[in-house]
Amino acid sequence: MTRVAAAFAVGAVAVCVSYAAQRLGSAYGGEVDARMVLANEHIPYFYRAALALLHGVVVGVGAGLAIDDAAAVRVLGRVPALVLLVVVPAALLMVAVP
Amino acid sequence: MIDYALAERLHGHLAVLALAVLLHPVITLRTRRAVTRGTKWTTDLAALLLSAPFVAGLLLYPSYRGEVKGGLLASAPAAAAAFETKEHLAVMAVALVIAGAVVVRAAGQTLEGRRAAWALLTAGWACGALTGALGIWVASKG
Repeated sequence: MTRVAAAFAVGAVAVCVSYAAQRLGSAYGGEVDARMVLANEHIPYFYRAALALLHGVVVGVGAGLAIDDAAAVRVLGRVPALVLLVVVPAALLMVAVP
Repeated sequence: MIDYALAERLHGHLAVLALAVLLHPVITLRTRRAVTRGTKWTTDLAALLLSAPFVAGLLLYPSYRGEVKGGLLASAPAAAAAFETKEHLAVMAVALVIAGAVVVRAAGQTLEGRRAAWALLTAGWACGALTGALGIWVASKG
């Protein structure tokens, strides 16, 4: 069960990183102007959220399969640092880039 | 035609309720040496309560874009931008809280598991609280 916990924890971090990377990539590379909302049928938010979920599942399942219970405990021990160093900056960047 | 006033209130109130429930595990995972049954239940409940308004938001979003966003962009562009920021943070909050709930159930018996769950749930709570604050501000402009 510890492997399941580690897989979900790593997967959640991957969702956050993937979403932030996609949004920042769009902001940098150019996205349809928000004022064109009525003419734009593509909904970037849905694509970003779906792709981030896919990345989270792939990374989480991969991590869960790749590690044993002892390694899972070590991974869980690093989750607070991952959250502080990766997720919090990603969230702050999302506040800066609407 | 969607009654936006009603949908918006349900969406917001459920999210606030989820954040209030989530405070219980955020506090008890830090102050107690073991995960109690109450902590497990409130974590599960918070994950469910937070997922419900998130799914409702996903269902409402296309209609919002078509019927509300254009007017909001014209009258209050900062509020329209804040709405998108709110959506970004909501994705993160839901992912973190669901993962935290699973970690509490699956690894709550270990110290590493409790610390990991606390970090995930606390970050999820912070993202959710910021989402709620932005939502209230956007609603005041809409």
